[in-house]
Amino acid sequence: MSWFDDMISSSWEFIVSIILTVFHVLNIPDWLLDPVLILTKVIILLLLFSLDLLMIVWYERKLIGRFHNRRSVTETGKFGLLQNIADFVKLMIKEDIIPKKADKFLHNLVPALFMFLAMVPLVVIPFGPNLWAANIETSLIFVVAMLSMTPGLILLGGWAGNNKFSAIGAFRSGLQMVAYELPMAIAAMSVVLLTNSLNLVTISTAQQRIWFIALQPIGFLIFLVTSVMALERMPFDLPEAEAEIVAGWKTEFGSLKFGLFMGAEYVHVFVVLSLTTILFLGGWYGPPVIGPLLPPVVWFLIKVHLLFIFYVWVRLSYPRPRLDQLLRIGWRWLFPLALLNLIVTALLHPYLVALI
Amino acid sequence: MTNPIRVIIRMLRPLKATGKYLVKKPFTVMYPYEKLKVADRFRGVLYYEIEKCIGCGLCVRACPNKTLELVAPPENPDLDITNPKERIKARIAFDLGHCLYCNLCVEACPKSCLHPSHEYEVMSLDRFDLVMAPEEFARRKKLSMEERVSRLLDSQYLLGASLGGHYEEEINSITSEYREVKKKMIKNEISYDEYSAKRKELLQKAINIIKRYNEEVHK
Amino acid sequence: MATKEVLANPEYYLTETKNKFGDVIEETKVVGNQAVVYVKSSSVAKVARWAKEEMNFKQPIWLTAIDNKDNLELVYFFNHFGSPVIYTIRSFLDRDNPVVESLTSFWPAANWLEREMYDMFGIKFEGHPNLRRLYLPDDWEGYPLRKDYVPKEYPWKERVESYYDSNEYYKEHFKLADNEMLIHMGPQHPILHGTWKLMVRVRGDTIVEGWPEIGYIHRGTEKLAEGLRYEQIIPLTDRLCYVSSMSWHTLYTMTVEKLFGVEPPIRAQYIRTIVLEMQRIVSHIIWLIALAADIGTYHSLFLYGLREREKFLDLFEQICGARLTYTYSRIGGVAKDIPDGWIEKLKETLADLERHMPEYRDLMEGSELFHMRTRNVGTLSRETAIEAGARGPMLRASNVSYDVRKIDPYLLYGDVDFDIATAKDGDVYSRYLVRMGEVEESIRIIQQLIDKIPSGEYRKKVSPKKPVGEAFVRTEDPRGESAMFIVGRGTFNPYRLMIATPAYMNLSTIPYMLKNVPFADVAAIVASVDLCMGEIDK
Repeated sequence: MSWFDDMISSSWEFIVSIILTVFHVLNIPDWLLDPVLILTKVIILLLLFSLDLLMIVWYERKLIGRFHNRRSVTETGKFGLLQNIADFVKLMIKEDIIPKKADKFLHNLVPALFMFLAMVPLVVIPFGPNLWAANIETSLIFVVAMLSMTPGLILLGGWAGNNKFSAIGAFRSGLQMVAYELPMAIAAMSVVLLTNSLNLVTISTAQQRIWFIALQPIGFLIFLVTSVMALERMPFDLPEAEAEIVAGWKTEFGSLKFGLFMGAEYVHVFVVLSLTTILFLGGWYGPPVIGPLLPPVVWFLIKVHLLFIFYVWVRLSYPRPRLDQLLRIGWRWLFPLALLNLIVTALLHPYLVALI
Repeated sequence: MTNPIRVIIRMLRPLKATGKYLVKKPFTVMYPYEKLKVADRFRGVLYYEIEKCIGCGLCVRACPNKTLELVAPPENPDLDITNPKERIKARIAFDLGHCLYCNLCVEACPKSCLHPSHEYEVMSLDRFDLVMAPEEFARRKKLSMEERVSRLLDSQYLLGASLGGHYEEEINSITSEYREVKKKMIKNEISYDEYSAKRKELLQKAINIIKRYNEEVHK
Repeated sequence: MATKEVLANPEYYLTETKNKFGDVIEETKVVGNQAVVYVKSSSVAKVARWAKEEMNFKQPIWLTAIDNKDNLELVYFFNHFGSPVIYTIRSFLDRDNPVVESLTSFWPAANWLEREMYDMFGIKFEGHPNLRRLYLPDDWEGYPLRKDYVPKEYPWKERVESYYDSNEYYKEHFKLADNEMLIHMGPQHPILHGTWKLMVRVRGDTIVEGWPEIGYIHRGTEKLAEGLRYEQIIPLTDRLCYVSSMSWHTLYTMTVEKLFGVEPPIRAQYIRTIVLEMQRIVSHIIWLIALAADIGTYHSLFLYGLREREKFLDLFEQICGARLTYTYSRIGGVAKDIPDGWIEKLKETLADLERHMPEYRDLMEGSELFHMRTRNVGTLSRETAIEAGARGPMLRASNVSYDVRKIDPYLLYGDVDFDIATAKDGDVYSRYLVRMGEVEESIRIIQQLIDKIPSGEYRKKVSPKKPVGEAFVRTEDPRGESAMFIVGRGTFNPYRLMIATPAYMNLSTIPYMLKNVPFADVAAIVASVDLCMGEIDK
């Protein structure tokens, strides 16, 4: 895919040359060059990611319509393509209501922090060879840590609403997330055992000959299932869609704050799906024969989007379990299974490493 | 210990059921761009053939909800419809706001002058728009509000019914007064000019009430 | 032990009653299947208790009253699970001070029935645990169904919530403890399927006690019917349960035909049976999709079921012209004949439904999470179900094999071959199995009848009559055993129309199912009752 790599490297050199010229003209000191370059990379990454995000939200709704045997999102724009923009504008122009006795500082802080924590892991995820914003040695732990801060923020959000029922919803949500982050992290650790490194770039490049899903099938299943639960997607969205009392911990937030929560949920989904692809599905490497036909970043995005279609499919087909049944699945079945997987991987370690 | 194979199969069966629809044609009809064809017998808004009507009033008697009523015909607005010999010339007025679309009146009519049409998209911003004088009911022409009130002055129910039950006593007193005055004129107790003046006054009162109600509703 | 033939004869019960209670019985007679007993008002409870315990009458079908100008006549109907006999107890009460002993001490199912009589007629039942008004607000003046009732202006605009709706009333009367909370769910709530209030007493996450409050769409159908003629009431009965309206107006016309002494022609009976079974399928589809939407199958099954129902509604539209409130049956037959090509379309639709049933079963029974949500949830044991007055599929899910179509066949059910669907456990899952079984039985019945429709007239011309007499007919609605009782006293309009609705009795069993359950189970329990507020609130 040399034409694609050439295109990317030449455009990057162009941008670097513009920045150098600006630095030269305005006489900015040299030690600011590196941070500014990284900042530029991050900004470009986030802009391109937003386009992908818009597309994901649109075709999720279209897919749901397909599965339901009906047509969905057809009015705004030709195929409903402008629907997201319409929703966003509607959310922006609504009035922002803060309940009287609520904590104003927290009420304003939590949505922004939520979106921030959702977007931060994007900078370490490698989308292709040399296509990342930053390369940290422990990037896997970094991503998992950012995801694990979500329950704390949810508790703050439920507290900030000053509403008994939203606090209860926040507690339930926190319980659910904590119960499922643990098996997820353990399943990721089994992959780390194989590659001996926590760096996402190294894990990706190690899958050149064989994807880790063949070496870790049970780990893949556990990771997939727990990620659905940890992201609070259907069918496990008990704290949000409680038709029993109120709508959960997000009730007291309106207009743009609610929009930030919705957006952050999709960003989370993208991050976790990218993590799944990198850990188990071979990162940016295509299938054996037809690999070189498409650029690596396109293979990456295809895998992420196929997993997303699987998420939507799962969402439509299952009823919602009760909270105690949900926690029982997590602690009684998935956690021991993940530990078992880890032990088996450790025992079979030499044979598995030989296959990489 | 539950059987794990059964659990796994039970997790996969719903996926198969929803997955089949990924490749099927959607069932939706994109209303209002496409519309479904209604059946022949569809019970839509009533249609009235005013030439066949003989003013027998069997449909008025059959209606469960006081939707139809006999009123004086356009060519003879001073007809006394309470006189059985003259009633044969009276025609039917209709309140779409009360109709149940049950078609009991269609079955009762001996001359088959009432039919259900296929129309179902009815919209109006005003309850009084839904009350129709006979020529409107037969789709011949559209009357203004004043003309319509003038045609319906001897209906006991329809004028008041269109106001949603408000001002019921006032409208009932106007219509009963009008009928008394008309009877007096026919028996030659008062002159025709007196009768017309009284009629105009009652008409103006009724129009005022209706306008006042509309203003209150649209405030 | 008496044999089945003896038990099916009403005379047997009358002789037994006369032997036991000779002096308090004023008169006995046999009216069709009913064994009617006129009792003095002070011993009504004694006779009822004897009938329940010795003679095995299981449930009260309904309790009603007729306002004769100089006294109030109380009428009880009881049914028997082993024979088609209906035991009717009638007694005359003093108009100014109507007091009678309550049956709730030994027959809990009569709880709401007696409250309704208190609400509508002012009859006081001694010993009733909670004698409050049922439909009307607690501070309403007057008793509507009495003949001398004059409506007074009620201050709806000023009254937002009366004292009887407030937390103080409930705290005082139900003695809430410190760690308990009283939650009013409703009248508008997504899982309640209608406009009613569910009051629950909650301790932490567990519901300790729950009871319904109804009456938000009470339209006074029984009183309205006294002002309309027999032919005009048919559209009114349509709107009782708008989801299964075909069964209600057919029941009404069957009752009026019995009163007039008119027998509809055989072709009309075939058409009525086929259309009733189609209505049963449609009603159960709606129940299924409501249950699925509540449990959380995020609307996929909802939309598949609606698509299925659309095809049935198209068939209804072709035969009678409407899609929801049909007004198809008339006194003496049906309104219109079957159009050409309808039977072929019906066969195609049934074949489609049979092809899609495995899909619906996959999404519900074939899903592990569905089993987790519905097994052992909302269980009613066999005795509790019978005592609480559950009807129809709720009763059959608790291992009781009782169906009016088999015990007391009407229309053509005596000539058709079908089974009663029952299940053993009495939880939400069993009710699901019973209703799916009923859909399959309905398909079977329609397939047996559809090729054998005889030719002939479809409607007998019946001129308006002024009948004197009474008629009682019961049928099997999709929700259970329904009945109507008409009293005619020589005018063009009925003197009294009584409507006995099964969803009413099913809703009154909710307190039995909501004892110490986790809060998340409310959705499944309420959805399994199959409510239609139109028929509960009349």
